[in-house]
Amino acid sequence: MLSGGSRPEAPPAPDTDREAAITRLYREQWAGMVRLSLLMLGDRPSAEDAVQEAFAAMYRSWDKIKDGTRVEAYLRSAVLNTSRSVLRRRKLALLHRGQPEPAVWSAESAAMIGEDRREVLAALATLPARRREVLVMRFYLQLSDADIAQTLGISEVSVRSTTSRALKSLGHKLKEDR
Amino acid sequence: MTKRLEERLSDALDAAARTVPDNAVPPELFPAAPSAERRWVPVLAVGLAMAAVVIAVAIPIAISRNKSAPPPASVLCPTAPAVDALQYERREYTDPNYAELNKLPFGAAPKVPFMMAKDVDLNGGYLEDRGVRVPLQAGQQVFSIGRVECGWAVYRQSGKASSQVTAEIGVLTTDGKFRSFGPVTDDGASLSPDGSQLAYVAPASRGKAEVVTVSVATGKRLAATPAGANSEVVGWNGHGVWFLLDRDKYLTKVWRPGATPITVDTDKHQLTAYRGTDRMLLSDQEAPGNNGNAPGLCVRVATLDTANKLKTIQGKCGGTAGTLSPDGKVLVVDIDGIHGYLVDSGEPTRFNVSSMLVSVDNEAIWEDPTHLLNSAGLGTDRMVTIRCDVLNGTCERIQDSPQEGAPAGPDLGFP
Repeated sequence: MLSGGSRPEAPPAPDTDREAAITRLYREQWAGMVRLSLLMLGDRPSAEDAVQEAFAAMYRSWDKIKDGTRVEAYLRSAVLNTSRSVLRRRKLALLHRGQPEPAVWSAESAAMIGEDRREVLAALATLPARRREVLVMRFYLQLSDADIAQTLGISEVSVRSTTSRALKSLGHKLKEDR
Repeated sequence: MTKRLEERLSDALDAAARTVPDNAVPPELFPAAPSAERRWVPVLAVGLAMAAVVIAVAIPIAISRNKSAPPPASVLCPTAPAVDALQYERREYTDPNYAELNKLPFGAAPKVPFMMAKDVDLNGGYLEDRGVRVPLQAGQQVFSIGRVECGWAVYRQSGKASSQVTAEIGVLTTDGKFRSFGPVTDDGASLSPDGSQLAYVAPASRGKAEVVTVSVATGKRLAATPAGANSEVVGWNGHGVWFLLDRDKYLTKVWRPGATPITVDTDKHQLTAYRGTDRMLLSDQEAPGNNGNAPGLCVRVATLDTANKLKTIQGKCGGTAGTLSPDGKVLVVDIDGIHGYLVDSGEPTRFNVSSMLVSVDNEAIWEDPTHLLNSAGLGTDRMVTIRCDVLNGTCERIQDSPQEGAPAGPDLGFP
């Protein structure tokens, strides 16, 4: 599950101190959200930037979050959205070229996480973003189909089919890679 | 086997996540004063002061597809000061994981506009196209949306940190001058089929946005239609400007500038339109259907009928990623490998390579109707640019180098 934490408190009613509420949420969830983004982006500096952007988005939309029990899902969704934007920018190389820092699945990270894990992560990194998101939420965050569906705004049927296809594709790539 | 794969995946994800330790210290969320020395950007603080659309590091996604582009330079076009060419690396590798790639010969430079720079800080950068090189200011980055008379429609971005980034759309002329049409969101742009107009999503007041068309020659705004913060221009063909009103919901509209946009049902696919053909690509399908019994995920080529319904003329199932050649004749899909098919007959071409070698999606860049270009990091610290002939299946490397320490580029743009 997300490290760092317990479920955040419900957002305050309008006109209360949103800064304080977001600061508390930030303290509780920052590390877990950076890890989530890291698994999508590969390197920590980019992940930290994406999480900052997500909190900025959350700050702007705070008043729209009616259901306090959904704050964590909303935050996850915001982090995935900003991470996806980074991937899109990278793909088109309009930001600085390549990874700002070596990805956790780069060859030089093998010593840190092990070669077998690096291979899995490298193969995962070649999947389309949506498939990767589903796998990360299922096998890292260990979320249910319902929670993944809520985070991504898709149906549970889609979650199941995307997971199945992503696993198949990942297995195929790992076999190919050997 | 699946169980074993799931265990491997969980283990790898956990190991990667643990590289962020529990005691990692987050940067301040509400910094008292921005510090120029910090690597991270106090987005939140800046975000309060700036329009949301602009703050979101407006990096464009270009969707322009070329039909017939004028030469970037001729005797009638102004010239820029000379700039020395940078050599991108062509290093030989022996990584056994990429044996297939290691064997590819090196081929000619890209025949699309591309950017080079001396380093990742973008010093000594220039845009090159068919032998014409236009120098850029240090730290500046341009991305070609398509060729126009004596220049290129481009996104231009300056600034390194998110808070300092400014992204504009406009025309870069062969003498190195930039005519800005204004700020853009990160949501696509396309030249019209005749290349005289440009469509893109422009930020409007109060976090809103609109799809606008401007004259390439004058920069004058010609038409506009309301859009949303999540809108994206996905092409312009004979039917009009295609855009997603909400990209997450695949709510797709076709708009003849001056008229009311028409909603077109894409069956929850991402639609991509091309300047050179009225055939369109339907990819990135979100779901197989609510009842779970619908056909598997598919990549399709479709046309628009007179009732504004999309009609599939070719489709391949088993995957969701693909690209269509700019003349609409070859479909390339990622279904257990990368495969090419002739759209008219459905017959496979000889293009059949590993998806670890080439990746395709709806924003792929084509050099011409048979040559697909691809730049990828391959999930390693190696960056490679590849050209593949989608008919005869041959591929060659254009550049192969480490991601760090080599000149930056070639960063490919649309012709």
